[in-house]
Amino acid sequence: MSEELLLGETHAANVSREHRSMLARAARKTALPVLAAAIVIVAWEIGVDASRVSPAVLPPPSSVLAATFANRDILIANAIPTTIETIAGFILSLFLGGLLGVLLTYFALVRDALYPNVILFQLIPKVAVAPLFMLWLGIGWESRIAMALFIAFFPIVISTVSGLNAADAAILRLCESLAASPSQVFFKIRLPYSLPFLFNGMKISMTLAIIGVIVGEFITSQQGLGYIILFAGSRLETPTVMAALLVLCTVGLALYGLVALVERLVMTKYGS
Amino acid sequence: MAPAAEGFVRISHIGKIFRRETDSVEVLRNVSINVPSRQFISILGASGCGKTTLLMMIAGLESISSGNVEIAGQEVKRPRRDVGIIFQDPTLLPWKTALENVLFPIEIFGLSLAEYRPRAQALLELVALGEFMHMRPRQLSGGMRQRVAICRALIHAPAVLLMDEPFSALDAITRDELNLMLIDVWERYQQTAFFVTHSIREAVFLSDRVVVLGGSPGQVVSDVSIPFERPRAPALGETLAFNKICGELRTAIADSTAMSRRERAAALRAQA
Repeated sequence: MSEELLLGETHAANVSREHRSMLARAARKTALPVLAAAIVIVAWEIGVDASRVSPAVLPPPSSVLAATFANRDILIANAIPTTIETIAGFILSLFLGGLLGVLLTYFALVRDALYPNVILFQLIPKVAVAPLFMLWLGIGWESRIAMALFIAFFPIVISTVSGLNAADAAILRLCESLAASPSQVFFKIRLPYSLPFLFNGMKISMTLAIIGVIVGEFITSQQGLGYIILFAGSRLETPTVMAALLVLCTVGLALYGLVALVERLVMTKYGS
Repeated sequence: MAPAAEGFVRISHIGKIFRRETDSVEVLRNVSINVPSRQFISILGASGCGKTTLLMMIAGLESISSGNVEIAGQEVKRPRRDVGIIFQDPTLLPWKTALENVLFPIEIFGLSLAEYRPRAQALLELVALGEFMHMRPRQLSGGMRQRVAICRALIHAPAVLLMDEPFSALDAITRDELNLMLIDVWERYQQTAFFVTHSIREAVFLSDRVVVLGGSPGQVVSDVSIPFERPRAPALGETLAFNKICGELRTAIADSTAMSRRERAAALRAQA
């Protein structure tokens, strides 16, 4: 065998080894957390069985699954308004929070007048004012969306302000030298530079919007997964409570995943 | 010196004072330079002599305290679109390809991208980036990025090209390479060019004329024309005549720093 051939083979072996270790890393990243969760669930099932804890206190995973299946129609019917109201609250937060962020960035007068107040506003424990929303807006979706907006909009404001200020100063000078208009600077420079910040804010905001809607459902007691949790809890139907939680987690994961997906799509265009 | 009327770019009795809270610093005093059309002029000086400030005043990016700058008979009050600038850093947009970055001024000016694309491609070919025009800045080396910046400054065929120590952040080998490329590009298009540098050899190699700024506040201490024929080759740097001019300029800079040191000492004595 010639030396070259030998070298070639070693190279191929190296490549395949590298490839294998990459696969191993990927498998480890998904398999390990799934395995860890599976161990906890199995231990939970066996533990509940062995200790004879009342299912009303801690139902085993199998009866949670059974309750999910048995109540699937009610769960889906109530998951729909929760999801829609969460999305509505999130979009309103994005719009109003983004607008306030832009105003705070561009107008010194607005900034000086409002920024300290916005911070102060943020210090209000939000869940504590939920009854006020019901008083003002009634027991319909208005209260729940207002609650979601109230909780979710602050991260959008902060991420917009820090994002819009993240543009490279040298690039801004270049734009100045080209006599770019303020709207060109905003859309072509400041907005793209703010995207990573904005998406971080949006991910936080989406999870907070769900909390806002659930709090609203607790207070207004009309419909939604929050209402199911409260109602089933009062009747000690713990498996149903957990089934609603399971659906809620799924909705939350899907909505978060949606933001992450949009981020990924946008950042392939506006990443480095 | 040529009479004022003959200059394409006329810098007349310019002064710059930076006002700070408690005191003010005079950076430039009574600087007058007349530059005929298509001359390549270097502004040479130690760091802190005000040479970048002078360039930014020609660009319309820095306010002028006294005197004025005229380009083609019009006083410079704000950035002009017939000026191209190469900054110290490449200042490329990270989400745009090399080609898109070169076309960025055209985008800002609202001109037809399709019309200028062939010119952008030709410029990139000229600086040996033809194969890399669809890559993003992250994928390019520092020298390649600065070459993209050269193309961007030239895309709209500016009448005046301003360069602010464009190669100072690069290693010596890349720097020599880029000097050769710059001279190639310039000899083809021949804009009126201002090149700010603290490298004597770079200034002499590239220019038709070298102006030394020195002292504190900065003043013109020397104005030398560089007689070598174009096109210029690297071997020029080895000739006696070249090195003689470099030597003279070095002496002029050393004298001016010594002078400013004496002036500072005198000022301190006057205070005491």
